[in-house]
Amino acid sequence: MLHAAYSAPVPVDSAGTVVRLAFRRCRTSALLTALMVSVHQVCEATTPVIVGLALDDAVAEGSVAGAWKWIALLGGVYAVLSLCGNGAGPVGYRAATRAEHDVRQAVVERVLDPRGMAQERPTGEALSLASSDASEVGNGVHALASGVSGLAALAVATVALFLTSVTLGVVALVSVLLVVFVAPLLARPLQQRSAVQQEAAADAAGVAVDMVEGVRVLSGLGAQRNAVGRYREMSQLSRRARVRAGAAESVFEGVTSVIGGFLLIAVAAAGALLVIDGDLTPGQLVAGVGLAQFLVGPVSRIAYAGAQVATVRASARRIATLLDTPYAVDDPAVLAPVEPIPATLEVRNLDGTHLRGLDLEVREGELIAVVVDDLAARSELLDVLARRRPAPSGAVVVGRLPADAIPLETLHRHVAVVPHNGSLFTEPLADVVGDEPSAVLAAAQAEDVAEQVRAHGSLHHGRNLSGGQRQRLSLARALATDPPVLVLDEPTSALDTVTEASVATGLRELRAGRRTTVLVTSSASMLAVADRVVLVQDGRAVAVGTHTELAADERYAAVVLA
Amino acid sequence: MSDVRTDTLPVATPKEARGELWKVLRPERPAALLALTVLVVTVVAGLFIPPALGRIVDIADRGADRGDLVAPLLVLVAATLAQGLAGSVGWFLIVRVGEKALASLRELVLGHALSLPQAQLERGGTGDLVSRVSNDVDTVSDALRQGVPELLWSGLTVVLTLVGLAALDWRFALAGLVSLPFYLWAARGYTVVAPPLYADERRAEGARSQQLVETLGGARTIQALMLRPRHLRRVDAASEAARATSIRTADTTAWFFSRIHLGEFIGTATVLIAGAWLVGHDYVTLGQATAAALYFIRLYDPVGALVNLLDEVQSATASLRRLAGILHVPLDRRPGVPQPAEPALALSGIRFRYDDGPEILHGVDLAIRPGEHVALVGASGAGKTTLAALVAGIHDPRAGAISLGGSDVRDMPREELSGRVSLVTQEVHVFSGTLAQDLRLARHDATDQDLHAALDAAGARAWVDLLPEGLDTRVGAGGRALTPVQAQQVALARLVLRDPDVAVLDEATAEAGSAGARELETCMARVLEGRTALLVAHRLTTAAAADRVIVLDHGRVVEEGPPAELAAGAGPYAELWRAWRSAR
Repeated sequence: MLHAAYSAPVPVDSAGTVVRLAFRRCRTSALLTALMVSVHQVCEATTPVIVGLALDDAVAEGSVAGAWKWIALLGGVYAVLSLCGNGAGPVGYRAATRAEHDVRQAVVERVLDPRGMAQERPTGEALSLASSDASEVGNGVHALASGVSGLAALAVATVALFLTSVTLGVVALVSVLLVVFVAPLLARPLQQRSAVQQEAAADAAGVAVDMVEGVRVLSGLGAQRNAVGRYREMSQLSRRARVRAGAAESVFEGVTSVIGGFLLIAVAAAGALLVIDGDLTPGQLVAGVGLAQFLVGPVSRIAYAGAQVATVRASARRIATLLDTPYAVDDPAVLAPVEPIPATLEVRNLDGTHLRGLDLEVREGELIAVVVDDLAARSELLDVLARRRPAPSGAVVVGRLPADAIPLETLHRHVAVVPHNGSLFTEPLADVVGDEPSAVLAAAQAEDVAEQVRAHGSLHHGRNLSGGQRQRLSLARALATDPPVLVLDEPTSALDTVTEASVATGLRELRAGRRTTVLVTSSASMLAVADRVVLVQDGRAVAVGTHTELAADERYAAVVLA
Repeated sequence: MSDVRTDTLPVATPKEARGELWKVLRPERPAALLALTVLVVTVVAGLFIPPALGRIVDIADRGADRGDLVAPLLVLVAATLAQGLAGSVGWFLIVRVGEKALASLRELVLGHALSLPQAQLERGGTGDLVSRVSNDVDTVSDALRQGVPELLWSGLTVVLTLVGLAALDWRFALAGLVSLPFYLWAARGYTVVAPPLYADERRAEGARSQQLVETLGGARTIQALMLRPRHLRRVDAASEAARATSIRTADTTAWFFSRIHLGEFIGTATVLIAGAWLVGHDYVTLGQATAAALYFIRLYDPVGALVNLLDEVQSATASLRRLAGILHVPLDRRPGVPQPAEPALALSGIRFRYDDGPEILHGVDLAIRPGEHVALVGASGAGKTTLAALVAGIHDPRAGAISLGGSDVRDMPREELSGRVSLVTQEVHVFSGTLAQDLRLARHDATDQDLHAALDAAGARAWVDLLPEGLDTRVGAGGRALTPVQAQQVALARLVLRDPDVAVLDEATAEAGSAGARELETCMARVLEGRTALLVAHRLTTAAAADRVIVLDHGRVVEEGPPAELAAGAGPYAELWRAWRSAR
């Protein structure tokens, strides 16, 4: 399910589109599930009729022999019922998990899309969309099956009732209509309370997860008891909301059960009068009562399907909101130029929230360093270079081409902007630094880290490494991709000065003259190996020179040498 | 990717898990008994319905007077109303009891989860724990909410209906029991065959969420290094694997229900045959035979529900075992010692290794006088952060001893120790909620004034005052995003509120950039004033401001002394110092 990087985005604009996307590949099996469950339900509706007919025809006569043919019929119905009812499980599961998987994959594809998101969204949100909401959308299969089968069974049972006796049919139908209209009225307060309850439960769960994620901070301070206290407050709020919702539920359950009971009584009373008048046999009365009893089932299945559909829609809408998040930048659809793009990088008169007319020029094979004192300006510059956001005004030029005219995949292959504190993944060493890693490992001083990772077979999300080890391995990984232009953000901030100096030398030996490198850093050891250093203050370049030349500059000394 | 461990925390046995459940339910026994009684009333009320219907059939069959119908109809009305009313009350009572027990369970689990020995978490990461306190708590809650009332209702209905059948004629009860072996056969499938399948399913889902956490959390790195296809492939594979195990479970368990259908069919057939025979021999009336058939048909739902519940019970048990697993990790309860006289730290002969890894510290001796600021410097991987964690009591040394004011820290409860020797890690986490709620985690009874004073000391007062809602501004996940410098300042403010005797700081300059690092350095100096402190120094300016410097190299102390003295000498610190100066 890998789309080419340039394929048009799946046009998703609403919950409906997400549902269509989910069921693109499993429409048939979803429909088959609904069909099988329907057949199952219809068979269930016929069993009271068969029992009633058997009572009439054989039991009333006290004829054991006569009962056998009805039992044979019942056996036939049961065979079909069992086959369809149980077969629907596996078929439905296939459909539901397929839909879930496809939605999940769409969410992950959107999050990883190189065009980025115009508004940043928290990872937790994407995570819950890709897990619980995706699974909720998959449950649409079951909602569909329950709604369709409820309707089918309702229709068949009603027809059967009318065939038994028109009067019974009318009585039953009126009662069912009553249920259909009364239930939603009753359900309204229930829905409100359960919405409140769900929110409270989600809040409490959110606090629990947050506390566990911050457990190191809590245990560093010995603050676990306070944390549990705070969670207890949330948990008790959630409990009270749940009890309130439970009160509404219990009233709802009680009333619906009474209504169902009166439906039965009405049919029984009307049927008995008909039997006394000789218009109905006792067996037909039993069949009628059985059908009336059965009717409550489909009605509640339909109600359940309604509630399920609402949940599916809500999840689909949340997913649609993520999928519809506008892209941060466009991906020019033009083909990449055939000839190789020169490895130069130029920033012309870049203006933004924190940048004020910044100019930079990096020639092929150069190793330059940029010192940006202001954190916000630094991340703005890096975001624009990485095309994580468009340049508000001014231009980034890569090898004579404006960066925003180069297809993103080509651009990122050509200019890699490596984030500070990059994530490490659970993977074998070869996936991190390639099969021939000795040169990059040496340059990043990461041989010992590699040894440790190799000994364990794979990285566990980088958790088993210290901050400095993670940073050196991340640097080695970036160097291993060997892009024509490499932009590094404070790549040695967690390293001691001696290691830092070796990394600086290694980096220079590996790349200078051969590849183009931009270091955004304020570390003196790194600055010392740069061909040129550009000092950016108040959003513009205020001084350019080698580290030694600039050391005399007061502004530079204040930032770097303090 | 073969050695990705998702289940690093222990999983309890089913018996232990039930024991934990029983523990939270036990205090609710009186209320639970009341709920059960009301439920019995509900079911008994329902039992009056089939015989009353049978009476109606008999009356109609005899062609008797219409007035005779009044009595059974009144019974039906009364039974229906009683069933509805008692059902409502019973349901509510069960919700109330259940929710109380559930709340105790989840609070107990979280409390335990947060107090787990850190070493346990370092190994497995927090992913597994997060999924336990969220997903598994959800599964158990759903099962208890839906399952327990249904289980009680179904169980009672089945038993009491058999009683009802026997009341009509004992032979009807026997006929009904013919279906029992089939039901037991179905139950066996769910209890014996299904559980390992569910365990596999859960494991595969765990691996899938682990992969999602990595991929979605690492989106920026993935985009920068063009790792998108690889990660889409990995998520795809993990998700397809989880799907395959789900399907395997569905394929196997679906057919267990056929056994129920077989039981229903054979039971109904037997009741009909028995009815025909009994009516033929005038042992029962047609109405009684009808009532028997109706009784038996009314059993379909509760029996189906019972077997379905077995299914749910299995899946809930899997989750409950994971929760009980957390509760069964022994927390080291330590005796507690009298308040140490003075905040002097002494380490002697400290050795440490993680699990079966190589030894990281090879016998470290170190003494910190009250009020002294000691900086730890050394190459990346020298063991600085590990030593800091040992001092803060996060890990226990494999050999050697750490004492605070003369008492061995192993004799102090961890939480108390962390209050006296607090650690601020490089890893910052801003807790979701208001800023005040975050800070009060460090001291729950702090007044707003205390909070402001702490923020002042941490250098955060200026920006907090500018926040539209001040201390009530929502921060953390879902709230206002703080810059790395601000997040560190919040961490320092928590330290001030916690007010420990000894502060252990892993200097976090990595994220802050140079200007931020300098700002934090000032804040740190202010916060540490008057405290004993151990600093893991990444910037030599921090080391230079300390009273004493300890140089760590490959897990050994290779040099120590006042920074100025060491810098002037020819040792490893002087080398670091020169490397740092020469770049300047």
